[in-house]
Amino acid sequence: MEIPVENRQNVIVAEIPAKEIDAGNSGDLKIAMAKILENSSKLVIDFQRIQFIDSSGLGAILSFLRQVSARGGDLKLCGMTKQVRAAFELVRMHRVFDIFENREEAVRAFGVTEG
Amino acid sequence: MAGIERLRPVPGSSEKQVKPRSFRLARGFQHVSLRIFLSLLPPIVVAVIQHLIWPLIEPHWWFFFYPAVFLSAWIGGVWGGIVSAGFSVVLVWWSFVPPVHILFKDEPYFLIPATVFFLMAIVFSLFQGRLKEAMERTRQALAEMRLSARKLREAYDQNAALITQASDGIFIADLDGRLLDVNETGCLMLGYSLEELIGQPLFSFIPPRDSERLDRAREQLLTGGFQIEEWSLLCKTGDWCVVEASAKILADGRWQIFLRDITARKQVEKHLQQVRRAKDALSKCNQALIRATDEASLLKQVCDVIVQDAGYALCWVGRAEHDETKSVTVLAQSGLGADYLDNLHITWDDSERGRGPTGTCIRTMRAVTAADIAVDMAMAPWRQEALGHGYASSLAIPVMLGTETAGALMIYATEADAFQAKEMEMLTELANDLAYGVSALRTRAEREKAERELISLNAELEQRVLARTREVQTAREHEFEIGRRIQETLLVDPPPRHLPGVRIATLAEPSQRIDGDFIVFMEPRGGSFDVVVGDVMGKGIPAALLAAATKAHLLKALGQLSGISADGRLPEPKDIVTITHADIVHQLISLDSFVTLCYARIDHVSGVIEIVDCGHTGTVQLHARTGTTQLLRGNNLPLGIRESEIYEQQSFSFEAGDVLLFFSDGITEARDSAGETFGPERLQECIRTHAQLEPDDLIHVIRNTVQDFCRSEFMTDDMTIVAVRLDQVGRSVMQAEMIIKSDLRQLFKVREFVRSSCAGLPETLLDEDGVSKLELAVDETVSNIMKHAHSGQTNLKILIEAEAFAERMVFRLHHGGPTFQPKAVCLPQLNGSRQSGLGLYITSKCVDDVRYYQDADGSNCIALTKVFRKHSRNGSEIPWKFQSKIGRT
Repeated sequence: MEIPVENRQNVIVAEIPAKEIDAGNSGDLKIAMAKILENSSKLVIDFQRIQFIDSSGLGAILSFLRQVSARGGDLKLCGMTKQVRAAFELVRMHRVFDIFENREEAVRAFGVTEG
Repeated sequence: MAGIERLRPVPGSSEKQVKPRSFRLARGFQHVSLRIFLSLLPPIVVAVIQHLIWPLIEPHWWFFFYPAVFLSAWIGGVWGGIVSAGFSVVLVWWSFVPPVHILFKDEPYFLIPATVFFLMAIVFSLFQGRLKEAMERTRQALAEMRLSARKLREAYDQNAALITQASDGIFIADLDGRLLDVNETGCLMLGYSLEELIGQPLFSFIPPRDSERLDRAREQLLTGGFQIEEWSLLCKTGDWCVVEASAKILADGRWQIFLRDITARKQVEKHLQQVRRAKDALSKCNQALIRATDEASLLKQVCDVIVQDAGYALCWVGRAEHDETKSVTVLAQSGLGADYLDNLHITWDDSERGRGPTGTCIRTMRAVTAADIAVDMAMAPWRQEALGHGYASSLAIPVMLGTETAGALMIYATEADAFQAKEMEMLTELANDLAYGVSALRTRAEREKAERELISLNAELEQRVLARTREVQTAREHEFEIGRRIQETLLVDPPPRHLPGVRIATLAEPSQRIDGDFIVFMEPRGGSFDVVVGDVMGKGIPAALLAAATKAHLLKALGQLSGISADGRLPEPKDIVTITHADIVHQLISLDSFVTLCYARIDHVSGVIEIVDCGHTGTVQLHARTGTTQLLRGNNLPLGIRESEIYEQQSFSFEAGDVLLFFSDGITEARDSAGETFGPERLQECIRTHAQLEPDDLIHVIRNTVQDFCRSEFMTDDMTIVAVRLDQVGRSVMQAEMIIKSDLRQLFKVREFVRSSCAGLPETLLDEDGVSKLELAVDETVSNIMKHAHSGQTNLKILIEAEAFAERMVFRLHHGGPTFQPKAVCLPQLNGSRQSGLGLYITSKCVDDVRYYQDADGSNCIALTKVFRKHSRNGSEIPWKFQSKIGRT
């Protein structure tokens, strides 16, 4: 899985390229995100392509947050569909993550002023 | 003696001693006056004689008066002489000096001879006094000499008597040890005459082993002092006497020896020592008696004690055998020369070998001694052997057991006549104690043997009883097993598992392995099924046979009525029961039995249950919507009570999720220790409490609850339960299924299947959100099956069924993995600290009911039910069907 990454003033924005995150590809996602996580203290994951996420995907996102937090960084999410948002809310993970409508809002939340 | 007598007061002398001193003086005075008066007589006599012879003989004036004065002084002492001299002068002056008889004489010269005479007379008197005193002293000296000589003679005689008659022997020998003199006692002591002893050396009377000791004694005596030692002396008779010798070397160089015969004392001491040893032996034997555990060791210990502690040469215990020869067997022995016993051949019959001490003792039941084996005629057969072993005397003491002589205790001594009365008495007591000990040990041994035999017999009996019980038990087990199989196969139908939306579980636990409870499942037509739960009065095989007959008649009635139904309608339950009753009522009445049953027809399409309750316990219905329970009961009589009974049925409605529970009276009439019954109320409460359980689990919970109530694992009555869960009512509007490989990469197909299955449903029943949740729930569940139940084995398959009804959508996931226990999974922490169980949690939140059960094929199945939503007035979503869900938080 190849994850496109965008660096906005040291804020890394990663967009998950799949439509679904389930037990079948959450392992691939973790591997693909590993390198990005190593180099990012300010990370935004864009969910705009994701139509479905199950507990495996939620678990993977949660592990990303732990890794970034362990390095003193922060992880913010954005671009969730209603169904994906519902999944986060179902397990109350929306209280754990900062979730924004789009990547711009998420990048701004890091205190970066885009010009 | 004389000295002692002088010291004694002479009878009557005490009176003199108390007389007054004046009396003694007067008596002395009288004594002196008399002597002086008597001293006057000689001058008077001489004067008379002079006067008579005066004419014849020219008087020599003083011639005769000198002797007279001398005599007077002899009589009256000095004063007698002086008085006599004066008196003589007066007599001569008056009578013979001329002129006589005139006081004054003309011849004054006459005064000279008178004066001379007077002076001479005084001298004579003094001389006489001295002479008399000298004579008196001489006389006293002579008397004393005679007394001394007499005493000396007496002393000599006494000494001679002492020596001659002394109780000790007195031997005088020279330094070479040759006897010079021996007193009479000494002679008697050795048995020789004095002549035989004189000149004999002392060495000839002592044992050779004491010669050196005698030399040493002499050497020591020569250095001074004296010696007291004990010696053995050979008498003329050849016997040895024991003496205590007190010896010294006299001043004249002779060897003086006082010998005291202590043979008797030594014998007494020896006897006392033997008695003391016998006492010790008796005491030790008694101790051995107390500690003895077996007869052989007791006998051996007693023999050892008699030899080692009492000092006898040999001891053995013989048993009197009652064989032909009446032999005596040696049981135990101790002591030197025990090989003596090897060839004894002692008997106790009246033969030569039976007349010895042992045989005689056993025969006569009294102690027998052989005081001197060398001369005892009874010891003739064993004399040579006994003497060869150094035995000189023996004692046989009977060992009495009751009134019979069991044997003898034999004791041998190295000296003759070794057994004295006191010693024999103690040894007899010892033998009696030994007999008591043997008797006690035998009694104990017999008792222990009897106890062992009794224990053995008991154990054997117990084993036989156990074996017989096992045989009977095995036979009963076998019989019961047959009965149980009959009941399982004939009386209890297996619950149908292929009815969609219906899950049934049965429990039939007879109290005696086989009983009269029966369960019948019938499916006369699709859409409904019949459940019959019956109970024949009584237990065991008769009840089981009646139950089988009733069941057969029920099936027969169903067949008959179905056959005659013109319009193809199902025969009514009440008709089936009525026909069945009619068929068996006579037999039941003749058998004095009856049958209670509940015939229920469950139509899961119409949601109606028809019940014919024939005196049964009723049926509990759990209303899933309200969580309440209801006891459904009829009022028909049991089968077999009354002929021509017409049975009625009752109708009840049910909804999806309801549970029907049929049961026997063994459930509700189970009693606790206080006698209180479990009752239908507790049963309903139990069902309400565990309403979410699948039927299989529910019946076991009920059974365990009843057992806990009764506090017994074994019930006194049969327990029969049929639990029916009706998950769907009405006909399905859609059915679909798919089979996928157990591969996580196939999950997207599952989601597509969910969406396609829900595609035809109206939006009003299931909107996009509901579909998404179903999609998520099915995805999570299939994912869990693949990961956990199938452990990632991609070659396995999963069957997914989708079925839609009027009010709900059901997805059933069948898999071949192990049964999943959702309670074993911990719920996740929603703050992200624990992710395990997240899929289960999501599933439970996305659907209204999740159930795990086995399908008709035995595979595990997970059913996910989503109830179609209805909107309340305020627009919130209300699940209006299932009240219970797993994973509720």
